[in-house]
Amino acid sequence: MAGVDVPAIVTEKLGKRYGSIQALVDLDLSVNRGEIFGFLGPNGAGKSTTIRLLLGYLRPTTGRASILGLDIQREHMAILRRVGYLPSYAVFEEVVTGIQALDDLVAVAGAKPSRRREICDRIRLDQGTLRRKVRDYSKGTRRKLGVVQALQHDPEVIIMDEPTEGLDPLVQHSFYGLLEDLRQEGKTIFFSSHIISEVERVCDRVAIIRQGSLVTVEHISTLVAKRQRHVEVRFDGTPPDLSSISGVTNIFVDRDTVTFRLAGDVRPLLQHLVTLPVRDLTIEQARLEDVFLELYGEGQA
Amino acid sequence: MNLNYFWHMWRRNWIKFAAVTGGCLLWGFLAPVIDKSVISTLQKALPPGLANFGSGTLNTFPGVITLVFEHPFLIALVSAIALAITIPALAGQRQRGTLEMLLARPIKRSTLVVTIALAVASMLLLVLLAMVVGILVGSYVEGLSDQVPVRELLIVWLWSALLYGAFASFALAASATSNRNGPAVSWTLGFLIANYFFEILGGFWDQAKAWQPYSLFHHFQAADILAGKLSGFDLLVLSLAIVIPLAYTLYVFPRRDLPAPD
Repeated sequence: MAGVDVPAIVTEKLGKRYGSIQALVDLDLSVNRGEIFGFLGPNGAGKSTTIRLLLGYLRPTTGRASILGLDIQREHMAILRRVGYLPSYAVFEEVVTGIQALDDLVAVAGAKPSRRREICDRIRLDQGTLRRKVRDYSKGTRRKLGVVQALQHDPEVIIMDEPTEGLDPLVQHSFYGLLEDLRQEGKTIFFSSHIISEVERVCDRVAIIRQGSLVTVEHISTLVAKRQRHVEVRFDGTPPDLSSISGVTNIFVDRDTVTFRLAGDVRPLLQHLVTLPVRDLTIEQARLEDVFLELYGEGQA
Repeated sequence: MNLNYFWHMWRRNWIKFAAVTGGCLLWGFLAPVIDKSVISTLQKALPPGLANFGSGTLNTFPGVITLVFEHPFLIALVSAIALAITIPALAGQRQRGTLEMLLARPIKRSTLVVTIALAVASMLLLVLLAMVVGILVGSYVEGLSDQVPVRELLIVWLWSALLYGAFASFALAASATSNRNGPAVSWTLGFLIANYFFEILGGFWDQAKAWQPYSLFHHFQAADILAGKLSGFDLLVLSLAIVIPLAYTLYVFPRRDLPAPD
């Protein structure tokens, strides 16, 4: 068995082709143990294809991948014993109760639902609801059941595809807390989503995927810091020319106010501004959404 | 085999199983009753093709048993196992999305196929056994027990399980290669009807007799078995008709891509 120093998930030149359609191209990823790794992209970008390759629903056309040091093709069963998966559309038998659905899944796996009650409590899925038939569940309750089935057997790696789809804001908040606690325990969470704010809030690092190709993988803070900030400066009187300052672009002057984009180090700007009659200064940190749109804009161009 | 999933298959399908079993039990029970009260008076009016279907002859009680085992009613009833249990086990689950959840567990696809095949086989054997029990009870009630060759009847039971098992095996192969119930049901029904058509046509039309060996029904000669005549060739054909689709399923299903359901 691979040691704890082995990354939780590794893909090397992983690719998938359906006939003439290249769904995933040479994906190289390394997800560390104990991190929440965001996998961001719009619908059809290749997120679900990647997950389905990792879990053995699809066979790769090129490349290889491993989870916990185990090869996804040769050691598929060993991987599934240590992984929890929440599909984007977790579906259960309609005619059974929630408890029966969970019991059936855990029994087939030969596992024990050691964390079921705790997870249910965290996401507010009470025992009375679990005793009702699945066909009577709302979309949100079905989603909660999906979360429980993915976590009830205490997996080491958790793969989630659009996990908060259908959860109300209160439960979403609890769910984010649960993910944070799981990370503290050393669990690895592969968090696929197209909701940028959610990825920014929950994840340590993020991979952005576009048309089956990886665009970037970075810590969210690094990714955001590298991007241009939006700056607004109000002066007493006519604004001076700021175009000579390093990193300043897209200058727009409106009476006493100058707005511009700032890339890189903020210190040259501040050193320059202390010599000027500044009345107010606002520097907005770039958001992941800006980064995402910028990266996608580059792709479109 | 995954024993937990085997019992899950049983729990999931027990209503369908109970309905088919009840139907078979009643059908078997009615055979001696019908033989005594109706068929003996109708047999002269029947066209020879129908009266001799499956090598059976309605002149004798064993002939009636033959008819009971190959009657369209029983075929429809037992085929429900193939159509309503076997096909939903893979294609139906794929269509609903529950297969996705199942295959996220450490269960090999080949193990899943074997488990489904064994669950269906056990259901088929019990369903057909219910009919044998019905025949025995009906015979006792009608005072025809002395005409029932019990040992041969049990062989007929196992042989009929091979026949219907072949259709179930075909259904499993169709199910394993489909993403929806519809196509798998169509293929299986088409296969079943084509087999029945070849056998029936040969009974009515001499020119079509040459086609009968291509029908699986032709290799279930209940009357011959009841008379103590067993054909090794028929046994081989029916066994291969089970093994070939099953082997195909075991080869194809573990290797096929399962993209996200629509």
